[in-house]
Amino acid sequence: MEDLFCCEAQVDYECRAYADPVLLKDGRVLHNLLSSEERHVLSSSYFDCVQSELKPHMRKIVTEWMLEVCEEQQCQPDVYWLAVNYMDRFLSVSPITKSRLQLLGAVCLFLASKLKETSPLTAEKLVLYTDRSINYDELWQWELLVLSRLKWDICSITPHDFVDHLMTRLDVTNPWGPVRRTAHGYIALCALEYKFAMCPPSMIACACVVVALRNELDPTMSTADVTVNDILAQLQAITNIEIEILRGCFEQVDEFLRPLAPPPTLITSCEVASNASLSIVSCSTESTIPSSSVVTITAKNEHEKAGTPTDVRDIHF
Amino acid sequence: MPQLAEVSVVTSVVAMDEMSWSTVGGHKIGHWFASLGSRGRGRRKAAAVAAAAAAAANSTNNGVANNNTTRSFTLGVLHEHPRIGSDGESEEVSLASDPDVTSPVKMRQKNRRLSEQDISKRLSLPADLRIPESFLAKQSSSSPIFDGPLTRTNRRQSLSEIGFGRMETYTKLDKLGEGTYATVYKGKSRLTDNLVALKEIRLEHEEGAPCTAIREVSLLKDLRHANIVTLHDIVHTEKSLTLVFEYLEKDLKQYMDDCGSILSMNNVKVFLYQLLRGLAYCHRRRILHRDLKPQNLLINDKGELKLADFGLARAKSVPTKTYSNEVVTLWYRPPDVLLGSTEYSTPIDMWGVGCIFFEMASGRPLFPGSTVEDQLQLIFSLLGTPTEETWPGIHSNEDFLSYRFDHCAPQSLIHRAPRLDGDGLDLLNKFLSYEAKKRISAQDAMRHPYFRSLGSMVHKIPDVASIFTCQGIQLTRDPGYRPSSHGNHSKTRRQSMLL
Repeated sequence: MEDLFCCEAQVDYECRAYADPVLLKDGRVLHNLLSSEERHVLSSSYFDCVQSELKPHMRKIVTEWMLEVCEEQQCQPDVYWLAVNYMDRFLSVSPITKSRLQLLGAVCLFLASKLKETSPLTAEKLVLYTDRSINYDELWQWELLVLSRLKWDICSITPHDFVDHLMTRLDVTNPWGPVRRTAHGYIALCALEYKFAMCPPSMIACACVVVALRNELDPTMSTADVTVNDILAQLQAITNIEIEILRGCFEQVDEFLRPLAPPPTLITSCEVASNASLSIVSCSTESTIPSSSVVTITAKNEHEKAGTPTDVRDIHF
Repeated sequence: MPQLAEVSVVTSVVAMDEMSWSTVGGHKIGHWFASLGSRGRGRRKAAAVAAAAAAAANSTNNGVANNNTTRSFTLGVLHEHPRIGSDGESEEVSLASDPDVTSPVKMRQKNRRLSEQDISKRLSLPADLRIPESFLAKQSSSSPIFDGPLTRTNRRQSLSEIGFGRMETYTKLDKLGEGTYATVYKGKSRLTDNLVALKEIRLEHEEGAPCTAIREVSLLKDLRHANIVTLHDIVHTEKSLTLVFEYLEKDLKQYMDDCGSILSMNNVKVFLYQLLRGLAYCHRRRILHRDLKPQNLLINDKGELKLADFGLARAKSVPTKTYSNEVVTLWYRPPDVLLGSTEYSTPIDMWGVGCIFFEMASGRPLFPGSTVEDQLQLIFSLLGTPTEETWPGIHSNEDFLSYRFDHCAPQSLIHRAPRLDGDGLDLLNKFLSYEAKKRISAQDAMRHPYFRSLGSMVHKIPDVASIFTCQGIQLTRDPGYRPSSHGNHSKTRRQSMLL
């Protein structure tokens, strides 16, 4: 495994995040998250009832492209989830032709990064990433179009928002350890899968946290094991989501992630130390790991099993 | 008379849109931002109505009246629809109003009484909104919003017909201020006759819609609180984006100026409590304001204080290295941020609250620094140069070490703010804690003994209720109050004397 580690040379000490008890200890914050998350979840499949030309595999292609852009530009991870969320919500109200899909994806990235990033993706970069298949005018016009269609309701709640709330409430020894980061990485991968767009973000977050914890503790553990059950029971108490639903979601996420992110070689979805981008997602992060020891691990040895055309296994936001 | 903004609604956006553009956003009180595509194109010239004169200057005369029967007397001029080039979708509205012409007047009057309320309820409109006659008339003849379940499209269309999301619904009055990306005007809504603040954001930027606007709108949409300024509507045209806010007479800065910086201590408490209330609400929705200053706290004549200007706010998230320090106006900026910390969260706002509290109580800004170093020097000379004891870890802060501040002993705040009582001073100290994590939170501050005199009911009122709904809480006359130069002296004076 050693060859998979690569130490970050540059460390920015200023990027430690910290746990803000005002946000994390106050049950109302989590309650607010849980009570308003549904609003941004798809209620039905737009491929069935809205879109005529688009097919599910096209969504896959464009979301993979979006993930690549986010990775290369080291966007904060919730930017990616948000962008995919905007795209799905737009597509569930407005039929478009497939030739517009990448434009839509680019516009959604544009908007999400404007909302979240300190230095948002520029129009120029996005145009370049599409290999100039879109132009500036289209980008600007569609920006307003997407905003209008989404009724400017773009502060969607993402699974990333839940991770710290869950981790601090779970009975785990080190809530700020690698599990947290792994969970964020898994969440990003889940955005690739259309069926998860219909799940509430809290459920995706729970499932990814369980998978991350399980993989961290013992990757061979099955879903029926005591520990997994115990974690699920704790999550049920925290979120009030029925345990069977949680388990169902966990199993689906686990199954989906298996080919993409094999348990023994964790996806480390970020170089937390170098750009703090991942830690941004969460409300807080008492980084107990010294920044310098944060490593990037790639799933190199599992490369061949790639289930998707793009290499989504090493996500470096 | 100020010219109405060029109403070049609908643009190529529509032309390139594959679908009909009739669906657009909504928010807060449930209005929808306009369908840009407006209906009824130049079918009839607006009938000359006396009320029209008022807005004649604005009228571009290519408008149409949806309904030429009873003109709305509440609206002055009704519906000058901009002539829209590419959007042919909207004839139906005008057509729909035709049957009214022949319907008996008496009956319509009667129906209208009923349906105005019904429509308001059905569309979740604010109570003070006057629904245009034409719309009522149309509804009484054929009522899409009452036939069967209200679909999103129906609602959207209805709201747009009422006038939401259209620039001609708002009359621009005086210019109130100009910022880097927006100009703010005082205006008037023709729907409610209420004053509004129109924040006009230019869209000529090469990066499209400015982040600040995107953040402000998307955040404010979700905030419904008596101490947060209400966003009523959004209008976008090709060149600009206009946010329509409720209008409040003054900001805290002007308020303090108008009373010679001597506020009644009761009012200080009432304002501070409202500030904390608004902020606690934001914080539990994971939103930081990050730019608190007296200029961003608006106050109306009832004494209601509301947080405004969320351009810098964003959904709570931990900052990156590139998060600039240029976030909070220097005077209200906490020392940890001044010293390069980027790990800020809710406490960033609480330091500013402390500074504003002091300023209200003493009449002077607490730390009016001109540079970062000056700012820190002012802070340290009052609160004492930080030590490992008062600020663990400070001696490993490179910025701090590089400044080589002289050692200062902490001064007692009582000399600087003699009008504050013991509880007030204790609370002030809790806001001004060097260690960000030890700074009192907005929620805890509201429970501080300083506010005991407001009674216990104040903690129980719903988010959207003003604190003046609690018995016993009222504004008092400010000792230094001098009527301002513009108008209504007698009214204000009488009010002050009564209170």
